[in-house]
Amino acid sequence: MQIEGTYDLTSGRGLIACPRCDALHVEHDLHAGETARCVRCNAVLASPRAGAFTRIIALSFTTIVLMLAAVFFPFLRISRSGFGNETSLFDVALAFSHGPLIPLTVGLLGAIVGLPVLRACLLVYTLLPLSRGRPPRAHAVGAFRLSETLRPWSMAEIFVIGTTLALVKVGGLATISFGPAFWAFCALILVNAASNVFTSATTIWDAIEDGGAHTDGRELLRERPE
Amino acid sequence: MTDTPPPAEPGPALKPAEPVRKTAARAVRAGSSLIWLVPIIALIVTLGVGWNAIASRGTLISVNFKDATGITPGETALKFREITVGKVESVRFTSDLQQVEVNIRVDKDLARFIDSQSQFWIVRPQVSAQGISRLDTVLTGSFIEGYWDGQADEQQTEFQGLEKPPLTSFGAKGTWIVLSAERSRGMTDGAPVTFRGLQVGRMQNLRLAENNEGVLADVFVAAPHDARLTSNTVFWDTSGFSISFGAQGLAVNVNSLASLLQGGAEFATLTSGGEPVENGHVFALQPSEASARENLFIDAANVLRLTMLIDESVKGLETGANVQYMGLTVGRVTDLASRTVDGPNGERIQQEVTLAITPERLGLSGDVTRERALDFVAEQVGNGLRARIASAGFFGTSLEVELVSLSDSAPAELNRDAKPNPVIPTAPGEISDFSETAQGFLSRVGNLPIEEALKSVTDMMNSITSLASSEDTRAIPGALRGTLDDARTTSGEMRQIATELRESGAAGQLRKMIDEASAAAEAVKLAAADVPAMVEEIDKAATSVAEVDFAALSTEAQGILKDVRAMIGSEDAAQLPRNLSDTLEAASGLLNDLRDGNAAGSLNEALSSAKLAADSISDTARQLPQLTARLESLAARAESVIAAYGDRSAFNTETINLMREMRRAANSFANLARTIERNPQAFILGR
Amino acid sequence: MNDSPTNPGHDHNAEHDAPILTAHRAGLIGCRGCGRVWPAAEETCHRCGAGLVPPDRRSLNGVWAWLIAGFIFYIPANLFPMLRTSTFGGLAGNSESTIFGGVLELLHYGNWFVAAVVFTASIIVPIGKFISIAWLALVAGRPATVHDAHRRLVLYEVVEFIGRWSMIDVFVVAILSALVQLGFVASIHPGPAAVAFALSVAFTMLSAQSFDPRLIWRGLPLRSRKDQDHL
Repeated sequence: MQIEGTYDLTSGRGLIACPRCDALHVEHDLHAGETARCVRCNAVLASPRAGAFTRIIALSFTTIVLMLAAVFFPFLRISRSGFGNETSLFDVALAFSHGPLIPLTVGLLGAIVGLPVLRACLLVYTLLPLSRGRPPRAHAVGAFRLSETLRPWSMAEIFVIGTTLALVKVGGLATISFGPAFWAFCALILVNAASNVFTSATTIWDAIEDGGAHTDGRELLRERPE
Repeated sequence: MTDTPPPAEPGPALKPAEPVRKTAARAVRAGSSLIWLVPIIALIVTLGVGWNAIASRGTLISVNFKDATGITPGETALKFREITVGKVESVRFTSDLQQVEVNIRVDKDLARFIDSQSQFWIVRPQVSAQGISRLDTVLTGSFIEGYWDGQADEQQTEFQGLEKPPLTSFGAKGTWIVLSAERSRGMTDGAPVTFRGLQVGRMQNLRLAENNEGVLADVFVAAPHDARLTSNTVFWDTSGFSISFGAQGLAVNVNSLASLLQGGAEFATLTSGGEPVENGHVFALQPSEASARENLFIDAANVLRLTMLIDESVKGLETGANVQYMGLTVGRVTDLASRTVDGPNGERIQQEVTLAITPERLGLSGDVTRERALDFVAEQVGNGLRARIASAGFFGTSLEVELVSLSDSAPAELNRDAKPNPVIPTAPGEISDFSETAQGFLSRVGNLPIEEALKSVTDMMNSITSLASSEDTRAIPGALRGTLDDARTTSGEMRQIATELRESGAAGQLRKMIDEASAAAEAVKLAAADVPAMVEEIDKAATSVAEVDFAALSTEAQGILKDVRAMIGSEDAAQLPRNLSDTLEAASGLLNDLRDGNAAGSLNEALSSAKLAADSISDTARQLPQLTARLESLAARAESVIAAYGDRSAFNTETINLMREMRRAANSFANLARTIERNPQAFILGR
Repeated sequence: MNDSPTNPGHDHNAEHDAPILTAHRAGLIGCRGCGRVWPAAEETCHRCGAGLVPPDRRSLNGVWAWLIAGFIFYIPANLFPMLRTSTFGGLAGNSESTIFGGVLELLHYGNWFVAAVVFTASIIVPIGKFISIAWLALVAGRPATVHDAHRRLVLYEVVEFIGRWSMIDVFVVAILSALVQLGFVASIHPGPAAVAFALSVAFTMLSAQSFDPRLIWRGLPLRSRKDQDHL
């Protein structure tokens, strides 16, 4: 338990170190809507948002739904003078499924589909009880950490941009028409971006801590303890 | 834990900084309910799209095929009128593993038209006797084609696919008929059916008849040709070729090469009065056009059957023999049997011949039925119509039945009530004996006056021989000799002229001419009987005379050469000397002209007149055969001599040869001239 | 329990890097995941469970290792063909193109824009990343002004952001291969360069992730953890 505003240079209580530049800051309990930034490198230290958790949860659900749509609906259709080919996401991944390329298939499928869904599920798992004010689940810590580790590896939006590029290459040759999956993916990018805006790791860690997860005893309090 | 004092002690101790706090530009309200719109919308849209996709999916039908060549689940399309209306979803085996079940999802708006009348087949490249088709499916992939009509009858979802694409496109207007034959000769799948040589349909679906007694084929005759089909239409087989030997002689009949290979049938409607046919009407396929035209049992129900009873032998009469009436075939003999009848002298055997007559062929007008035909026959029988056996065929070896009106026959009646058929009274048969006929033919041949003809030929030949060996003929050479003497005289004159010409500086060819003339005389002198040589030299002289000046003259000379030959060849002995002297006189006249200096023109004229003379000579004398022959041979030798110098047919080459000969002749002519010079008498009296 | 005055702003700090107290100087370690500060001897953050790594140059080993691996894989990515096109079942032509060959082909067809994009994304960007990360690793911890430090930080963030996007090329190959499967007429298959390129990008991403940006701000002589005890 640490009183807000106090800090201990010996043990590091009440302090925040900027993840980017290692500058020490005093930890404050921020109001909703405020953003705390590092004095040196201007990195965001904490930015609690009102209802952020709910929003993140909602967006995560959306991610899951959209990903299902993207997987099961046809993605692209190419046709030229009678020959046509319709491809869905599976076909894209299966394009690599010949012998030594199988790991690449698994990697691609994972990066495009698996990771976003997994992250979404982890976020929901972590934040759902928190958004209702209940104590977090048992593995919330690990879940959230995994989610944060996986964040740079989810490549759904890159996939869509890459698709567009490929279509530009092929577009001169044949007629391309987009299926529902493509639009689901585009929506997915937007949802992802929105979700990132609302996600502030520090805040969520604080919430997990405040919610009663096993912590290190350094929760911030506004009042002085008795 | 250790203390880590900041290195720079002076100054305030380093403290952790306060983070820069910024309030959001506008307070974000806890509009948590709003954000839930996002997943809800996403869910709705997703479900909506999914639902739409499923709902508009269309119905699943399954078609059984023998094999699924070229069908790929998920890709192969179902096409109707070349538009994709469905897609193959999956391919399975049927429960008995005998067939392949193809599940196709058909577009919804079309699915309701797929009823029990629908047909499905696989379109893939085909190579057959009718040609190669649908190679484009190699690139685009095979597809399944279906046909159904525009009426939605009872729905059906399980179908049996056709093994092959149908030969005729559905929806075409026309009539389906069935052809039946005993054997499948001329019937193949896809063989054309023609009308007046124009293809109007194809055979398909060859199969055995149910009672295994024949072969059936379906033919779809397209509109408007199906209007020509009536119940009286006959079909015949046009495949292969046929040879017929009849009154017109030998005839080989071949239709197109296609029909030779793949068979075919043709039809024609020979008689009127038939009813229009319905789908499925069975027509018999006749083996040939001739038999079709004679085929009368078009309508087996309307056949008039009669029986005739004969006492005499019917050897040579077979079933299928014609029944003739007034020269036309009106029926056939269908049955021959014996039967015993009771007669005044006990039982005797009678031949019972069953005739089947086609009433239409009797020539009745209007609605022709069996009864009417029977009435007609009965009436005619009352007027003397009888049936009898008659000879038919080229040599009269086969028999047929003839219905003739014999005015002198005993009155008789058509026995209508006899069983099984009415009995028509008969008359004695008209059978000619083959042996008699042949003998008569030979006797006629023997009666020809061949002997006399031979005799007259022999006489003719004898007279020819006698003519050839007559005295007059033999006297010819002597007369010729006299003529040759005149020629010598003429050649002497020629020499004179040549000298003068030489002196006057004329062309050396003139000398050549004289030389040749003398050479010719020399040759004559050398061999009195060497008429050909003399003649030859004269020829050459004439030729060389022509050679003197112009090529045109050469042509003339050539002609003269020929004419002289002809002349020699056909000369009358008595007239020859005279004509020759005429010619030579003309030649001397020519030389006189030459002397006068009018060489070219006079030569031309002279030669032409000589030609005319020669013509007249040849005209006047043609009749002596032997002399003719001999002179011909002489001329032939002359020709062969010329020909011996090489087989060159061009005029120039021949002329070259002639020039060579002329050179030789000129030499001997020179000798002659010298001899004459030295001893003129020797010339006349001989050396 | 001191309330320290709020520091007025960065301008002052931008001029001098001395007044900033970093966790390392204070003998503490900050968790890179959640920001909590722990004493230097701690090894795991007790809040978020992440490992506590002091910002020293030993972490650069990982950076170099991943970077070199990424570079090694970049070479076959350019030598082997990226795409194999076969038209008409191989009858009309089999064409293979490397990354660079593809760019040239696009230029040849007049598709300047796409060619530029592909060239940037597949050649300029990866090479730029190699150079940037190598440079950052080399100069990390060297004395520098705050201005330089900011620049390097910007560079680092750019590299980290771009990292994912280099995978575009692999996705393009994947899409084309999946899409242009027109059977007999034309079909495209990925070549071995695709795998190599994907691996190269992955390793480069790992390299960038391994780089501790806090090293940029180490203008002071480095101390290893063991030395801290002596200070």
